Amino acid sequence: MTQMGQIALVIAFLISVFSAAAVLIGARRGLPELMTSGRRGVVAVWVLTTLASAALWYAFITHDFQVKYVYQYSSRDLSLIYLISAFWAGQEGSLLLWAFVLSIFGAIVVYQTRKRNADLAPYVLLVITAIEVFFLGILNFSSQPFARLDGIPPEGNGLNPMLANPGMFFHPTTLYLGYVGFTVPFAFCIAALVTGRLGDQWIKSTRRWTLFAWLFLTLGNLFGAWWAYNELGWGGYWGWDPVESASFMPWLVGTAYLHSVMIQQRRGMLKVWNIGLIVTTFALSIFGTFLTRSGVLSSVHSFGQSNLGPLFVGLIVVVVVGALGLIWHRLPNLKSENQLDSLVSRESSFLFNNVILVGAAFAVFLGTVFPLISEAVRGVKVTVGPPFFNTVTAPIFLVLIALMGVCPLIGWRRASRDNLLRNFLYPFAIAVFAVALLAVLGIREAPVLLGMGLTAFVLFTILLEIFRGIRARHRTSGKDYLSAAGSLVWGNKPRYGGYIVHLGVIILAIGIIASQAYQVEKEVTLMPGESAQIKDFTLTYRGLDAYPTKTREVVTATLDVYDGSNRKLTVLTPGKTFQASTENPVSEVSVRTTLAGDLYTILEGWEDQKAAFKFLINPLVLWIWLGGIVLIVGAIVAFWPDAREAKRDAARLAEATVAVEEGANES
Amino acid sequence: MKARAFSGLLLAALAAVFLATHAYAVTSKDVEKELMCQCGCTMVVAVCDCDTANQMREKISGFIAQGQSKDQILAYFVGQYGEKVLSAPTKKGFNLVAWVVPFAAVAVGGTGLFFILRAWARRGRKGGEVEESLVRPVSPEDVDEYKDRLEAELKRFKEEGSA
Repeated sequence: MTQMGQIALVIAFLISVFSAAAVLIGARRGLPELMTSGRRGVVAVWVLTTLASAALWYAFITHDFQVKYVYQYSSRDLSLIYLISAFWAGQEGSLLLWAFVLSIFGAIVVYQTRKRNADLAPYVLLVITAIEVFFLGILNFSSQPFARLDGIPPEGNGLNPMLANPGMFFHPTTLYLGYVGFTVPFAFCIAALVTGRLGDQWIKSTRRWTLFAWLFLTLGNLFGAWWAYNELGWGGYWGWDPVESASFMPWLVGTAYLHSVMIQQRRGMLKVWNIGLIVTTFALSIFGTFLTRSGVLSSVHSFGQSNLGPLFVGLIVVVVVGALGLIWHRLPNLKSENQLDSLVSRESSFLFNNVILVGAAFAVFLGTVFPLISEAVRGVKVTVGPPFFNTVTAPIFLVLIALMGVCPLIGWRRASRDNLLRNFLYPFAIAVFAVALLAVLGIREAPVLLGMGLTAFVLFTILLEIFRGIRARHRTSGKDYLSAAGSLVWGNKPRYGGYIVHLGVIILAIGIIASQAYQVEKEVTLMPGESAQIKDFTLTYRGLDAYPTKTREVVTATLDVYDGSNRKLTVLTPGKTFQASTENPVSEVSVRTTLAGDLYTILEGWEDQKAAFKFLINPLVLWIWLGGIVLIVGAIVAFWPDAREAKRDAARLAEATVAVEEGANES
Repeated sequence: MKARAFSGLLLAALAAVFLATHAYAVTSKDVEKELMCQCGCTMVVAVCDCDTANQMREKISGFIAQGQSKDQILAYFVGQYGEKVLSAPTKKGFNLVAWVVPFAAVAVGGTGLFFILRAWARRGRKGGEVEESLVRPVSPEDVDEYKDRLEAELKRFKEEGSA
């Protein structure tokens, strides 16, 4: 089976080389047979990488330790779910996952372009297959997942205990779907540049792909945060680790792109800017993969370091230089008549949002690579850690939140004073009231008051807008409010989906601001029966338990939790687990979660029955995860197929077909 | 003048907040947040729970008990491990690049964008003048009539559109 996987990878590599050449020559020389052959090749690559992936999974599940990769990252005692996720625990598997996901997307693009986008399709597929050639080349020549050991070891090395977490299942997969997903809009963009069809066709064709990639990149980041919070056991969810930053940067630029394409669609402006954004997003996705794998910067994610660095740098250079060359080549066609009706308009507010998002990405980028810059310039290694990123990005993000409230409600073209007053007066008043209320409740920190005021402002601009829409629909259609709300959202999915995403981001931001500003921490050493207090909670330590499980040794402490009026709330059992194959124990935190905040307990160490704990109160952390769920719902609404849109597309397709046929007749 | 007085007040308020946050006595947590754990975990000392972090924490508590200032303690660790032990670059010399450039970039980008947009808006207005001169002001009676017509057409559109 594993030999089959290896052979499948070799053939997949050869076919992807062939496909790239076939679609290119087929399109250049106008040979439809060759084109069709190339397109089939893309599908064949998908079948083959699927086969290879299945083979690797099979090797994991059957404990085929002669396969070096399986030996390195699994053992017999792993449960099925971790055997499945051990697939991407190391470099070879991660790269195979990249190639596998890309091949799926390639096949989908072949399907999507069977009738439409006939002009762009060859070059879209050329870009996709070229990237497949890159990854399959690495998988065949330098980082082989099916490499074999000489002997057959009786037992595997085991999975790093930190990776034995449900997060391992969701975080890498969603992140990769996001990273790889941006390949498709990037490929369409390059195709538009090559063919000179620089209208908004390529943007319209990739709206869903962009949303899809964006949603999964968001999910990947959130799952990563959730995993860090629940597994790494330090009480936080975001540590500004270089690899975290690396997945955050394409998110920022991708978000900017998601917004600025709307201007091109409406006004035909900003063509070069949009191309620049999607190229940057894609290059940053590759950069993210590169950082994880190269070991240039030390990170919690560097599970295996390798010599792939130069190859990835090469790819990034090719992507950036190639795109720049194409833009230069097409510059005369990219000039758009840039006109605005007013300085105060949706268009301009979107552009300011773009400056902020790209500025934030730049700040994160500079912070991430600054250690390298410093070493090159001064010869001194410095660290750029959380305090830097928090200080630098916080004000930028506050401006971003403010713009989030303002942008969607400023009219397109020109916003009148009435428009501004109508949309912003009440939310502004409510925000001022909210700040006053928080101040009365005893919150004095200026940044928190500012942040909470802004989030309240944005929250109510969105709610007001949705409410007005519902009321208008209720009046005109006579439906009750609930069904009016349903038909409103369903009638304009992209718009209201967007509002819901913004609501999610605001809920998330509230969680972040509160948990960053008001984390309370207490370290205590207790004997059984002794209690410690943190805020209103009293935690009584009952004793230690040590027991073996199937795979590890576990030590847990039992803590009874009481509230202020001495009512027992729950029992928490923070612990540590030991796995034979690793020296360091892994903390298993125990958390009591409510909407108001988390009581987060860590067992730090013990001596006989005396135990050292760290207790944390993390306010409103649940809001971060809830905001994430709202955001996902909004993105799905925006993504959902739209009957009206489908009708419009069908009409456009019919027109285009007629035009193509006429063109064919003429020639 | 008023604006100037207001911004003066705002600055004073900010300064007060700034000074207030710096008036506290140094705690070990303050110091631990500014130092990176040296076990290779890429976390600050305050949150890492490995042996290296524990030793560093003990040292920090010891120094604080001796009455050393935060700067003195940080200087000690820099002497031990080099500048890389600090969790953020110092705010002097070449390191200022990291601190200043992001804000400068946003400021330059924002200002540049403002001027570009203003130019575009001017261009837009010039093109729009002709159109505007053709538009008659609408009387209140007309507005009502238009509104009715809009309602009726929307209704018709919805009935036909949903069919």
